[in-house]
Amino acid sequence: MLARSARIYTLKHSNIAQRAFYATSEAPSTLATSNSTPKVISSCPKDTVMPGLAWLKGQAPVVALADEEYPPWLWTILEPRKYTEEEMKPGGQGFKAQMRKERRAKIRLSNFMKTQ
Amino acid sequence: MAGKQLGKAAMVRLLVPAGKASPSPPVGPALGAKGVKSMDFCKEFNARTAHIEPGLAIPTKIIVAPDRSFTFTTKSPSTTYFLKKAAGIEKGTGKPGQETNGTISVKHIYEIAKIKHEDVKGMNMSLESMARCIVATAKTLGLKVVL
Repeated sequence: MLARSARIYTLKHSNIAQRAFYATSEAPSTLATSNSTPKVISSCPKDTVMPGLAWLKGQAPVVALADEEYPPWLWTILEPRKYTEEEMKPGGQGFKAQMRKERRAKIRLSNFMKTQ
Repeated sequence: MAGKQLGKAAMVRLLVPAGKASPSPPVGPALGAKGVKSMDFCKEFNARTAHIEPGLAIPTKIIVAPDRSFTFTTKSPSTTYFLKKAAGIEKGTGKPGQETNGTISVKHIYEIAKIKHEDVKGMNMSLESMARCIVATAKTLGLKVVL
C-alpha cells in the first residue's frame, strides 16, 4: 500500500532541461567564477534581433541584451522550481505545490484503480 | 433586484485583426446574433487598437448587456504567436514531447514574458512565474528552450 502510493506521476521535462546542453552547436557553457554562482553564457549573444516581438506600431525591433543585464532568475527557469525551508511550511508556496502534486497523484491512482 | 428581468448579459470571445475589424465575417455574424451593431464595435475596436501593428489577431472579449450596449476588453496576441515568430516556425509539431521543430533562448522567453505580463498586471503574478508559463507553452509547440 505504501509502495503503491509512493508511485508519483512525474511530468517529463526531458526535452527542456536535460537536453539543453546537447541541443545547439553553440552549446551554452557555465564557468565557475570566484563567487560560487556559475556564470552562464547564453546561446543568444548580445544584439541578436528577435523577430516578431515588436508588436506595436513603430516599435523598434527587439534585440537581445548582454547576459549580465537580465535578472538572475532567468537562468533558473528551465529547472524545476526549488522552494526554501520557509516556503515548505504549512501555508507556504512550496507546501501548496507539494500538496497539489500529491493530491493529483492520489486522484490519478484512484482513477486507475477504478478501471481495474 | 427590483424591476423587470431583462435577461442575462452575453459574452462573445473573438480573435479580431488589429485595426482591421470589419462588419463582415467573422466579426459581423458573431456580434449580430447577440444584437450588437457591428459597425459601432468595429469603429471603437479600430480606434483602441490603432497603436498595434495592423493585422495581428487580438483576442477580445465582448460583453453584451441585455439592452444591447456592449463593452469589450482586448489582450495581447497569443503566446504561441510570439513563440512561433521568435523561433521562425509556421506551426507547432503534431507530436509535442516527441518531436522538436525549433530552438528558442530564455532571452526570447524573457521578452515575451514582458509583453504577456501586461495582461495580468492586476494579478499577483511575478515576471518569473510568467516566464515559466511561457516555457511550458513552448514545450507544447515542440520548441526546445535553451539558455
